[in-house]
Amino acid sequence: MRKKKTKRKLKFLVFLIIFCGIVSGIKFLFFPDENAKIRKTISLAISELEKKQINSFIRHFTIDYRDCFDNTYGTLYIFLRNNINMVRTININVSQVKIEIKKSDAVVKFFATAYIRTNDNEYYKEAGRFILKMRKEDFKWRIYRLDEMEYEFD
Amino acid sequence: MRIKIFPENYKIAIIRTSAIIVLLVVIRFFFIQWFRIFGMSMEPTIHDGSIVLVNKIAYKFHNVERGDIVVFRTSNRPYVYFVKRILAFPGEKLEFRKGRLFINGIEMPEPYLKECGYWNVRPIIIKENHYFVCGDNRTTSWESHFHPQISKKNIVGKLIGFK
Repeated sequence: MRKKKTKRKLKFLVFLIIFCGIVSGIKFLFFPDENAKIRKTISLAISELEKKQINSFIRHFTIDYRDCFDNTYGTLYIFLRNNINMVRTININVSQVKIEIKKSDAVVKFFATAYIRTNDNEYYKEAGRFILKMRKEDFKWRIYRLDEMEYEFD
Repeated sequence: MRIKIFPENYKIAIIRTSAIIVLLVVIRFFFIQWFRIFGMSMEPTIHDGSIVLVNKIAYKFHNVERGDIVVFRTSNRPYVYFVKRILAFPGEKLEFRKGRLFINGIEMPEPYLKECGYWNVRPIIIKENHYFVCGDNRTTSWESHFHPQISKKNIVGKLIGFK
């Protein structure tokens, strides 16, 4: 009798876990919140850059894009188009992502490391903290500003 | 006596594994942390890609000493961790003349350096409650290096080993 009760409890627990998994899976796939959408946009942009798909990558930027390296939408596109063929592999790791959303604007702070191997087999790596400003345009999050964060030790 | 790794009694195995995991987590968060080095500012002492072990409680019982290699982090998120050597204490006057380090006008020996470089840097007064840190790679220019003055609260710990 007792064994049967325990078995029933276990069955219920397994059912509950599966049910919660399915519900959260459906929510994540079909009804993602803004935070998840921003994360997806960033990871998509990174994977497109790694695959050297410049035309797809540049679609994640607004036409009035500016960054701390004095790039605009146009100069960024031309720079990438002219230099991407010099690169054999690109790997970008992003960590410590912090997202703050205010209506249709978002500020994303993150730490990124980039590993680049050129066609001449030269290896470069660089790391930094960045602030990405994003805006919602046509139901999509697009980047309109990129800045490097200063280091503070106080 | 033989110790069984997987005892027949599974409850003992679970308790033993959990205890080891808890112990490792406690060590990781409170005593020893490991980092992988990115960059060449500590060459030739620590190479790019090395793994360093940091004693997080070293400065709870002892004072910071000149020449200690420390890991410290930025004040604001996202946190970035750096590894450098302590060169000067609060209130001290630091300068470099032809690559040689002078603290309050007295030349300091730096036996850990292979090449002392050619830095000429005007005297810098270290802020209160701050330490001046610097990498061991002095062959590149002063401007290309990063020389922060760090407060003690940002020091994560003292380097105890690397590979």
